[in-house]
Amino acid sequence: MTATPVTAPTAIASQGWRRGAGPAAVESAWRRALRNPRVSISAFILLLIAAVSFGAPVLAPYSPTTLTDMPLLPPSSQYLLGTDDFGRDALSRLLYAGQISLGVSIASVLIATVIGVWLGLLAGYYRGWGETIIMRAMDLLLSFPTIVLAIAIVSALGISLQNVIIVIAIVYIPRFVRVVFGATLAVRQSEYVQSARVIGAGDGRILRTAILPNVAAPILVQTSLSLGFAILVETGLSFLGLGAQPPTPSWGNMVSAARNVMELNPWLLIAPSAAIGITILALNTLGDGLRDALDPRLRS
Amino acid sequence: MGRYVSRRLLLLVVQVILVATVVFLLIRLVPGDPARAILGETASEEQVARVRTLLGIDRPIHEQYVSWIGRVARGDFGTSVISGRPVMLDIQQRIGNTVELIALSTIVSLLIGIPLGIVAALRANRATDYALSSFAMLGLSLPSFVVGTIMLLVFGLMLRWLPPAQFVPWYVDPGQHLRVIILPVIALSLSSVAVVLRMTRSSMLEVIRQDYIRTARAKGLSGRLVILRHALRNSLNPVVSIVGLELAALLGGTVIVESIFNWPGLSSLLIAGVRSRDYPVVQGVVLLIAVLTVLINLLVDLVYGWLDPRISYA
Amino acid sequence: MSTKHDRQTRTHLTPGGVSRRRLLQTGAGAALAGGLIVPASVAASTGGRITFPPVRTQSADPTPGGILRYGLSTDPSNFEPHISTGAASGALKVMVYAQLLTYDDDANLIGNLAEEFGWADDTTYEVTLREGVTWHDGSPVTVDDVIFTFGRIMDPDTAATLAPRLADVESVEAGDGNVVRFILSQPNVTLPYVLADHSSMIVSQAWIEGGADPQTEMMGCGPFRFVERQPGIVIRVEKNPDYFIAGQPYLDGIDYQPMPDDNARVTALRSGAVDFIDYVPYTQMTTLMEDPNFVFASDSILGFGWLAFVHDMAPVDNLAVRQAFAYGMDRERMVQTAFSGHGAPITGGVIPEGWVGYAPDLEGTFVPDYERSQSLLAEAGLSPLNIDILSTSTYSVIARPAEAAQAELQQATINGTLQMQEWLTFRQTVADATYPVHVWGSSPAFNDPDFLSEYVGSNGFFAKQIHFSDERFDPLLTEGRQTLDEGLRDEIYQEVQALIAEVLPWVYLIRRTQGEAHANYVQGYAHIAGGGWTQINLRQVWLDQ
Repeated sequence: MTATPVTAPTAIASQGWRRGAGPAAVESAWRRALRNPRVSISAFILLLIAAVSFGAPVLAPYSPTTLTDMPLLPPSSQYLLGTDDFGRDALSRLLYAGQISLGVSIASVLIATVIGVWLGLLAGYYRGWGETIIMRAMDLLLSFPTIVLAIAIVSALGISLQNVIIVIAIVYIPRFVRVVFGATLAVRQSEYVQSARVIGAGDGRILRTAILPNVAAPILVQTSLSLGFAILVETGLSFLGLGAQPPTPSWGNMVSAARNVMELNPWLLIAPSAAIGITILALNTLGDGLRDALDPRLRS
Repeated sequence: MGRYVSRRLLLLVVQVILVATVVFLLIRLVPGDPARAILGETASEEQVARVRTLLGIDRPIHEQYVSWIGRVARGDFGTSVISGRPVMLDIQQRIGNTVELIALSTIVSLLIGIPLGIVAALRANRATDYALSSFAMLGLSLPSFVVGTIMLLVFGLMLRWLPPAQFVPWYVDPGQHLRVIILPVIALSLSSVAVVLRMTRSSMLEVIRQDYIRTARAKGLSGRLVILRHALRNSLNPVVSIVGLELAALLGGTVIVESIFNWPGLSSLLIAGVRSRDYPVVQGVVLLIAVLTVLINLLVDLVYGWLDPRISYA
Repeated sequence: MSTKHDRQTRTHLTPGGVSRRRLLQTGAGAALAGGLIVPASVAASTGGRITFPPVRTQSADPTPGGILRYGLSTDPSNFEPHISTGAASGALKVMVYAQLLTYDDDANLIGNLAEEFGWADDTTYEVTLREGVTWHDGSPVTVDDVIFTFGRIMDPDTAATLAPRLADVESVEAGDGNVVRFILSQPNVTLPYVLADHSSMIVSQAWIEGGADPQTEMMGCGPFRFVERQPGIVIRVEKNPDYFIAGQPYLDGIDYQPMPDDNARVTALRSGAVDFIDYVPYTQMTTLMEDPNFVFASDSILGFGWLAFVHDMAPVDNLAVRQAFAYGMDRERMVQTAFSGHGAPITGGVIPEGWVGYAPDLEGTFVPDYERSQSLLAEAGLSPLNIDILSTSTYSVIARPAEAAQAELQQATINGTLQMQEWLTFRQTVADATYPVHVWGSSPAFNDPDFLSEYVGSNGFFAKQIHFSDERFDPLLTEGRQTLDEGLRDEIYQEVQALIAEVLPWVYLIRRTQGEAHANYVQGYAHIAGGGWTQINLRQVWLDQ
């Protein structure tokens, strides 16, 4: 595994992606990446987590929100992870919480990807004052620590899952813009794009057919890495009480709620913590593997 | 160089003013009234209105903005509407605690991250490297609130090795102070250690593969000397830039770490300010954080250039 | 002017709402008449207050000395003596300042700065100050200081918490010697409770007018002197050697350490980092009660929660719908789910047993009857009822009953969706009345049934917020405030509560256990069922180490 820090994927873009990392390359890179056992295991784990989370309505033994008067039971054959401080089945909550954490992250990264990619394309393709405005705005967003920015926006918009999605999207848009901007700069003068222009293709068409496919690879890597960070932010906000609100379970608010009873019921803390750690670990490993496979510069 | 710095400083001022404006508006968008936070639960509407007048928050928003900017320009951050204390005083009393956390975490991440990164690079694709890289991956994947909470449980409650979440100022009891800072620093620095480790490893690998190192080796220099003299210095460059990014990340990370460990720093001041709609406190702290972040970035760019003369500041 | 003897007699007969029956029971009546302080060890425990363990070992002679380390649930926002900013700052203020009256262990009114107190006639209340009391700066506490204090409280610019409650006070005058006289425009028996509130601290006129900032400094005549505050770290007070109760306080000082995190606070107590904590989280109550090294002192009568309806919003403007809510909850089970059993259901009126106005006949009115709820809703064409329920996530004592209520109501085919907001946002939303239903919790503002005025009076804070008014309440409440006879008051407030149960401005949920915990070497502490002022007892605490 060749490592470049996942927190600075923008560095890769600024160093310039080689041309040829188009759709075909992405596909072959997938196959190449999956040959790495760590990547394939991660992908498998992620599929598993997604399956049990979104399959929670079928798989969960109990309702995640039904209260019983048997709070804080230890794990047993009836309640595999015991019950929480409201007497709810901790396992069922863990599964449903996965829906929230994964759903919020996927939705927010999708939004960030769509908006970020187009802003990056526009800035990189047209340059000029558009570039100045877009890139300086991104600098401004990046001049705040992520969590401070997220807290500020969530407080202003009000606490709801929808707003958490918006906030995480806003926080991650600059990263996509920078990646795509760098990659677009690298390909806009390429022969491929020049020849498209010569045969009279319009800007929209060039962006869609000539440039976008050629910047697909860094977008893909950025997306998989961003998913991990989105879960980090979502769980962090929930932990601080700014994310999913009770009785809706999320991994972050489960950790937070478990703190008051962790000495006697440590499993209530360990289970959601492990879920968070394993999910992010798998996403990061997958992202790393994809980048190694996609970045020709690092291929040896 | 001088022109570059002055242009950057100018940009910095513009950026900070923008941040100040955004924060000023944002905190006023948050529903909830500081007057209600000051008065008790059952304060009458007349009382709330009177306190709003006393605080000056019933004036048009542009008037409030102009007077606030004017005062900030003179270095006056105003007075907390909740505690009645000057915001500057609160910041002064707390900033040290936050800086201490960040500084120690940075030192820890460099002292642990760089050597481990070098080892991983020298042992590339061997068991040691795999172990270290896995550790780094784990460090990146565990959120600080998970690490912090679990450490509190294990070391604070179960083993009772370290005092749980009980801040003691250094001037009261230096030994105890050191003991209580251990867990927050670990929770805060874990991901930075991982990032520095990975960056050091990859840039070391890149440099080692380059020709002049081979040449130096061919000239008969011993392995360790080569690493120290040539490879390390040349591979430090990206590490410095990453440390800059990490400083900003650490600043954000203190929000969660200070809350878990009951640490009286800037972030807990900010969170308390947001909760009570203490406009002057929130504005002051966020402004300060923005200035610090921007300054750190500038500093990093300058160090970057100093380390790598090829970069010009035209 | 009445003679001293007359006043004492009247005081004894009409002690401003304190139950005569209870006075005789506890033997505190004599003390009340003379204005003497009853030592905690003498006062017997009465119903309603639960202290664990019930019998504590107390050495006969307090050992003076030592610093008490106090884990405080909130870093107090400021020290302003006349604005209530929560229990934490109240706990501090009662140590540094003194109000005219205070409460004994059984929540009976006793003199504090007052030597004697009582009604001279229907509209004149007289207080005789203790002789020779000095401020922490050494100057004497005078009648003028008291008059200045109430002038400050009643000045609208102070925005004092108690100002609305003093609306009936026409003037505060100096009498002979050390006597202060409150002249009322109409009878109001709640005045003594206002004088005992932790937001009616007597302040020094010279100190305030000398430009002191009462938000950041404290200078009173209480058992402890303010030393320093390091925000977020410590608030330090030291013994006042000239305190007006000879020998007290026993402690050399108190270090208040703010610990907003519930878990951290309990852990600090259990690991010996602090000796005393307030607001014990319900999750840790059982553990602390079972541990012989700690004492948990609490009550389950004061804090209560309710589910309120906005009365001009459909569908809760319909009484049948409100009734469906009232019968659609098993409150016994809610006590279990919300507070692990540390509380009590409210199945009738909200006035607790032992108080004037307690309504035994109402008990058991609101027991679960899901079928009735369903048929009430069905008749209104609203079964199932889907509705948003607003509450706040900031305070678990509000959030947990809200969660428990939401779960319970599902059995009555009321599908509530909880909307949890942060505290100040919640209060704004409640004030804006955007949601038809919300869950809130609080405790009586003082130990007299007139606290219900805030809830059902036409000028009541809570009533106005939910756009509730019913002209039947005001005459009753006024009568209650103006009646000195306790038996009559008992009837009046029972009627008020019966009316509440009938028209359902809201439905009550459950009471919560609330209390402090301390290490077993902390001696002499007793919990007073009264939140912010229970910490007055720290003046009689000593460390047996």
